[in-house]
Amino acid sequence: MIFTAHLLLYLGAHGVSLACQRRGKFRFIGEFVADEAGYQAFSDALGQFKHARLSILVDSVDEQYQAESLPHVIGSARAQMLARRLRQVSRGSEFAAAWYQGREDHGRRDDRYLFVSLNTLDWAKTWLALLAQHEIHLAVLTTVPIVSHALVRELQKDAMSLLWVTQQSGGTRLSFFSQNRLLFSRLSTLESSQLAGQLADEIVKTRYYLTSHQYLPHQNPLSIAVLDTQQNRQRLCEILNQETGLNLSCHVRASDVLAQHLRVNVSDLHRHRDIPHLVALGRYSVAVNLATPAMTLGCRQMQWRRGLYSAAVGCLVVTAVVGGYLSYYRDQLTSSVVQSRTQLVQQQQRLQQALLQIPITPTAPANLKAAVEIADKLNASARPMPDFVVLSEILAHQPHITLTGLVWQHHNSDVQANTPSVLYVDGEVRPFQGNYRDAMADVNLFMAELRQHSRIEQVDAIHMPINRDPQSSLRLSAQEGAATATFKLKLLLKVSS
Amino acid sequence: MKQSLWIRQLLLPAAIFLLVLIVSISWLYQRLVMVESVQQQGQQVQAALTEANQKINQSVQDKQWAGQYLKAYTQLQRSGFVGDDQRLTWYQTLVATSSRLKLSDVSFDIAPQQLNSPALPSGTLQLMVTPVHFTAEIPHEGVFAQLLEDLRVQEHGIFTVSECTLTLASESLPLQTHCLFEWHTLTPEAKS
Repeated sequence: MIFTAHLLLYLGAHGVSLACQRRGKFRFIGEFVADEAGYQAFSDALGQFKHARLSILVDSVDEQYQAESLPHVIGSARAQMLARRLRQVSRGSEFAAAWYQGREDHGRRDDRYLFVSLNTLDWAKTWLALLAQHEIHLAVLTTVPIVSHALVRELQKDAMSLLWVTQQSGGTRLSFFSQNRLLFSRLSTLESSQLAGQLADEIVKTRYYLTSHQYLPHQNPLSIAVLDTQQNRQRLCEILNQETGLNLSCHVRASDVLAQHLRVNVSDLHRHRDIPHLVALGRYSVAVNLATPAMTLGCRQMQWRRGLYSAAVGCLVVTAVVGGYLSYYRDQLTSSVVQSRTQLVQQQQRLQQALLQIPITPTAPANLKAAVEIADKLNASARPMPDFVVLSEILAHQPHITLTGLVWQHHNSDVQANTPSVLYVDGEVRPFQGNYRDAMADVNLFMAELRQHSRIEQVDAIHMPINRDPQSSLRLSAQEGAATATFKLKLLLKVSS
Repeated sequence: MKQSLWIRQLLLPAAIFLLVLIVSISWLYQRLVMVESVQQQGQQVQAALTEANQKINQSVQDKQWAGQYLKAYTQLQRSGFVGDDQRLTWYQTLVATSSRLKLSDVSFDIAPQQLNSPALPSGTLQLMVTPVHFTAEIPHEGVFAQLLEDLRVQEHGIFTVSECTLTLASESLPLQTHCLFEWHTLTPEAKS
């Protein structure tokens, strides 16, 4: 279904040529003359191509080509302008289309269009009826010059002004291209172009026509390319390359070179003159399709049907692949879960055994540990007597220092932390006879001894026998006399290890 | 007319495509649901496995702690540290010790039991504190040391000293003593 045949039909006044392209491979089927036998043979040939796609290449004198420049507009204005102009140009032709060919290089840079029209296909009704009988769906309806444009682009890329001379079963066609733009085309009958001299005259006349219609300035050279499928056009170029005063240069495209380019058999090319254009019709996309939407309805339906069937098949394939992967992934996961469950059962058995080995306890084992550790910390917390002993050791060396009071503090509320204990020492220097200097020296000596003890971390004087701070007042009454030399110290004791 | 013909021509392929699409989506959805279900089962089994492993590790630890601390804990229970407030016993202990050491002007005040602050981090045990304000006249430092030692070794909770003030007015007079003692007990389970 994907590689359905693509039928290629050359439609001329005297008959048709039929070819087929399948999987990119071209096959010429035959030529059919417009008589009863030809119609019957054509009908028989179509029998094997039911529902095929069809492209028709018309070659008739009913074709019209008119090149025009129109103001550059876009959107709906452009569509309306082109439709109006097409109606005016085609003058009631059944098939017409506008071909956009780029913009002018100068001035307002107008848009260039070629209006292509085909008056009627009434003369080909029999052929079309046969095609309809075999349910062959029309996709493209175009003309020889349009297909020639594709060939020129492929074979003659560098010509500025080119007269493209081709010979089909319907006659010899002269198509003029300026910078690869089709501007003009005419069909000569076989009778008027059979001999080289006759065809040379036709070409010279065409040259004059092009000049008179300003398609080609008089002094500009004109290249003439002749597709010589029958190997009989060498004489034509010899005539044209003679000094005619028309600045012509003719060269022949030999059939073997052409066959190589088009990838067809040379002998087929010699036998059937329509092959080059049929090959191009099948291989290249054409710029203008003259078929009306009603004519291509069947083809579009077929494309939609194929698209929907292809989408359904694609959907099935994707589903099969993704679903297969998901099934595989689920199986992997399931085996992993089964393995984990086995491990879980083993671990639960281990846990039961481990729980049985734990002795019965009045509370959770963590609580046992916490209770014992708290008790140990509380039992090891600071006590006043060891600190008093430290003080007694130092006082033994200080005969002039007498204690009058002690305050011992230790806050052990935070059992997690080791807090040091604090000792406030109230004392006085005895005996004291008013000599503050000696008293201060005794207290300082006492403090120095305290600082040297390993258990004492810090010693601060809160109150001394006399205040020597130059920032505060110092007062003494002579009547009261100097009774005592008291002091107060604060000791910070290290945590006993 | 042409439009309806066009639609009729495409009806069968469109219906087939839709049918295939619906069947494909349904089947894939069913596959996905199955995969998700197995994934969830896997996650649950993994969580249970992790929990079981943690419990096994915990049981090993518990076994070790039980062996290490059970005896000491039983001792603490016996000593009264693990248990309720025993102010009556403490009262009697203070009276008896003061009498035995011949302290004069003895007075003490056993305050209401309170929760130790900051609380213990374990959360299942509560350390309770009972403050005791104690005042007495003590003949000399040796008696004071004996007083503290006697109170410390009694077995009705853990006894600690928070603060003590000793004042010596003259060498001929006894020591004026004012102390803040604390008796600690441990409530085994948190009272919610």
